[in-house]
Amino acid sequence: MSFGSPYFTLPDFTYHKPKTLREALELLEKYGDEAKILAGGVGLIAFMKERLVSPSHVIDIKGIPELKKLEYRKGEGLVIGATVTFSELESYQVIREKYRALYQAVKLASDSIIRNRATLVGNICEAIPWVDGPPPLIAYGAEVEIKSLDKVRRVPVAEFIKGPVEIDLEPGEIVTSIHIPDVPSGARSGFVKFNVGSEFALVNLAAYLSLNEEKKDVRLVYGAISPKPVRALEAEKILSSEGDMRTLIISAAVKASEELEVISDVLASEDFRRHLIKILTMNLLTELVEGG
Amino acid sequence: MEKLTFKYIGKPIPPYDGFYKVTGTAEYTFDIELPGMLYAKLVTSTVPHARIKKIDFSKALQIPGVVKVVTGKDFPYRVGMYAGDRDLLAIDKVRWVGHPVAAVIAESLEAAEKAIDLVDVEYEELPAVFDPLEALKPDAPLIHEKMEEYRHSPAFNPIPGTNIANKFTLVRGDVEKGFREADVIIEEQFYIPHVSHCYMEVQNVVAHYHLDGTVEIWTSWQNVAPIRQIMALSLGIPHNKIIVRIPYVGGGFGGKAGLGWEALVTILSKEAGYRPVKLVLSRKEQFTVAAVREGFYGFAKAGFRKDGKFIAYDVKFILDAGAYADYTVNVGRAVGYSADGCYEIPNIRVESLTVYTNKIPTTALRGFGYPESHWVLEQIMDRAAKKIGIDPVEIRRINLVKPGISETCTGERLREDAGNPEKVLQTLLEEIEWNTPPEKLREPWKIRSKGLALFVKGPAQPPNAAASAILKFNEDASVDLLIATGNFGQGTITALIQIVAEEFGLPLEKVRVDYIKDTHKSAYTWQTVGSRGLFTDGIAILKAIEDAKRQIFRVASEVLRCPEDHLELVDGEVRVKGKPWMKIPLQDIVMGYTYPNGNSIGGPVIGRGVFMSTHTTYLDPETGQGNPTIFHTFGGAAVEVEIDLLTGEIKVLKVVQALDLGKVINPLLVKQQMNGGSLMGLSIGLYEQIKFDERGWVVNPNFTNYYLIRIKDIPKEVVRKTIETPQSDGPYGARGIGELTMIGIAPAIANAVYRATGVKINQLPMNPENLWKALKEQRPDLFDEALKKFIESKKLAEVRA
Repeated sequence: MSFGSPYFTLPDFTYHKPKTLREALELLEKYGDEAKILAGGVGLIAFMKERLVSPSHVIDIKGIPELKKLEYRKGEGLVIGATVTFSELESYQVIREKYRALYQAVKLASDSIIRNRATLVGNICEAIPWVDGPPPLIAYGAEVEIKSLDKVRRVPVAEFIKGPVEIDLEPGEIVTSIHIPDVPSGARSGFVKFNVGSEFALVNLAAYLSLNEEKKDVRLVYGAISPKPVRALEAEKILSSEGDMRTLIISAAVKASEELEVISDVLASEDFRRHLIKILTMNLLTELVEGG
Repeated sequence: MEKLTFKYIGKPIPPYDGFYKVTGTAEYTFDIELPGMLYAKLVTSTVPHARIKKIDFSKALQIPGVVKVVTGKDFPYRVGMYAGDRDLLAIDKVRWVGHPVAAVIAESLEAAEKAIDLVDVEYEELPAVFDPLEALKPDAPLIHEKMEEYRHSPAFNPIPGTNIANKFTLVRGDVEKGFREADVIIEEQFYIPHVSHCYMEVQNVVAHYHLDGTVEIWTSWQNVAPIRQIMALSLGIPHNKIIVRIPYVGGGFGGKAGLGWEALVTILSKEAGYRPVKLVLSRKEQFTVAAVREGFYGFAKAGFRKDGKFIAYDVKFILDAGAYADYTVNVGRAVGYSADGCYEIPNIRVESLTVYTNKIPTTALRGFGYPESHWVLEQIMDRAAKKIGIDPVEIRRINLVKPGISETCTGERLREDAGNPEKVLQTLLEEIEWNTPPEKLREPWKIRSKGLALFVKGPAQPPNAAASAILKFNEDASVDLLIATGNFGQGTITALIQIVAEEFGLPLEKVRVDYIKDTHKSAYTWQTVGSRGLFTDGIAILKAIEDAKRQIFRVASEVLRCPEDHLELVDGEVRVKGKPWMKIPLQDIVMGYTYPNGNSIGGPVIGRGVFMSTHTTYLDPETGQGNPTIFHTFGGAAVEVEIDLLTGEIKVLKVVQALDLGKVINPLLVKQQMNGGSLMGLSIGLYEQIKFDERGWVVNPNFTNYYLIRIKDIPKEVVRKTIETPQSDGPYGARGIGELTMIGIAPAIANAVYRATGVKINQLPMNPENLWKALKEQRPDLFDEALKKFIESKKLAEVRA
């Protein structure tokens, strides 16, 4: 035993590169717990180097054509395949126009070298609390599609991420895609993060406002403040109440900074995070209201 | 003799090694692969302070490819440069989390990395101490029980039976009397956390212990000489059997001074049956196993008269040196004798304690105690100015040293050509437009402000630290320059090549310096540290040039039939002054001159030259009086910052650096040094901190959680100004620059924040959380007002109405 994980090398493993989803699922079925899926590798390789996981079989899914799917259909929404990278999302016009929160999260995530490699599906499967992918997806009510040899199921992203590095995925299953519902016209969304002097966000926030219909639909999803992304339900309630949106912002921001469970960690203290929640919430909501 | 115009000196010559680095052909220690080479990997401690009861490596030996596992018991050597307190692997006890307890040697890195997980170490834990203030208490756990046995340099004062690795004291004037006469007294506490050097190339070593007892070492280090010296003294291997080679190095910043892992890997090579062994640290090990910069406390009391005169300064520095203080004892000494910065303070008392704790060992880092002493002093100046009611510039003018007249706190009278600190200050004011108030912003919760700091530094070195140079000619009058000057990115070698080319009138490409520094083949230099390389080795080279010229002129005077003083060297030819048609090309002389009939005179020309420090002394152990250094470079930094009062973010918009370098040998490289130092200063000032948990574990040993400045954080404007007040004993009048460029940045930022908000940030880093906390504690009114302004400007005000 040594302190830390001072390794250069990876633990031994067998590398597989299936050409079809079926082939991949068969390998997964065969190796069960012993296998891990490799997409961009940004998470998996780092975890393996740290010896946090030591799979004896690594199944690279980058050669499977159907997982490269990136498609928007009016009324149905957006499908993002498991091997679609952040860079590909960044340059997809529909995301830039209709899914602003996702666009901003993708654009602000890490750096361009990582974005060329990292996938959004990988980002949520990693389930690290400080990443930028999950909050916008949860704000849009996105679901992941999960396939195994004998079944297909869909789980909301909010439930799929169970905690730090913990997801709702059984041996034999692959997350094949993310499905984001279409956004009604007039709906607005945005994303903001505070990462001054930090690689990861100390706090990030995706907000979604749909004010057109009779009922206001407001969602605020915070990342990096707790073991998994959380919605500020009380603050959402305040924003959904009667009256001019602008006049509700401060009480909602204050409420959000109080109602959530917030952690202290190596990046920031709980107190500072609560403060940032307030400031970021005010900023982003003001921006969204002004923008309309 | 003094030339008025130069061909190369003062010209922006690109770095001589740029081609090799850009094309990827530069060879680093990491690239060294020897036949039959083995790989070593360290097993490190998981506990901060414990007796080693048992090390069981039987399972590790079963991994295919593992050759041997060794432990500290196998070779109980003590090594070190100054305190001499280090072991190669833990002997009997571990002193920090990360302390190497065993080394695995294997045929491949894979096998070695597998095997370290199978070495079981049984510890009997001892009480640990992580805070130097706690470690000073009489009942604190003792970290080094046998301190009196360590072979320390005479410049230091360790106190056996305590955790004090060095106690430095300095007394000048009567500080109590000074305080009695003071109208204004400032008392403050300051703190700086541990930081890492973050050089690109991690520490790595290849060593080969040959059967005949010769040791060959390749290492990513700054200097060859101390490695040989320390290994010879502590391992008992004769000096001339140790050959240390340093190829290109990917950065040092002080973290590769003294001795590294060379002694350990040498022993491993022997233990592995005289086969070469390579050890490469991972980045994580750079943060947990290799030495970093110490943590620092400063407790200062300063007295001023109401006219602004600084009359009493009583300061105590406490350095958190970690488990081994080998090099840090000298940092503790340097921070002590630099307490007065560039001010004349008649009454001063300094105590600087370098203290052991159960944390990662520490060492030099660019600036060597001066960033620490100036973090304290330069903020004191602004605090005093505000209390007295004068401008921060005015208080500096009043107290600034006057070269030729003033004495420093060690009693050293500054030479009259030491530099022009007044002009440095003036340059800063002009470039930062001190008297123009900063712009008011449309986002009124953000404010802009300007701040500045002055600084001075000389190399912290033993009084007898020497340098030497040899130059020899080839048949075509090209020159090989044999020097050991470290080449780890500073650009010194390029400047030294310029000097040789200038003096012989040769094209630059005719002067060659081998990229490999070699104890066997390069002329001796003590170390390339403390911004001293150009000064000390430059002088040695000028002396060698003089020596070679004498030999050349002697021959030429016979051939040209005139006295030597009628000759000059121009464009690679020896000419008779005033009769340039009477000449001999250098290549006809440098291997000896041959007359048409075959008679020959002279012979191959070899120039030799040395530098030896002049008038430097040890410091008096009671009073700290003496001459510690060979030059002082004066400089200053000014910044314009934008402070977000809501988030605590400090954005540095503009940096100005001004340095009196005596003579700029290469303006391009000087600018690069000033850029690099500015960014390093910003990074350490705003972001960097190694964090420990309550068990003494480093919790951010990677670049994800240890934030280093990024491109997006770089200020829009970095203004780099040089002043040239030549120092008559420097090469062309030059002084050192390397470390100076990061000293002033952090205090200048803190002063800018203080000036605009009155908020004191006595602790680094000045990251958003720390500023937010300070703001909330010290100026809650300012914070509330900022929030109000935000709400007003966003028209959210009617909310609760």
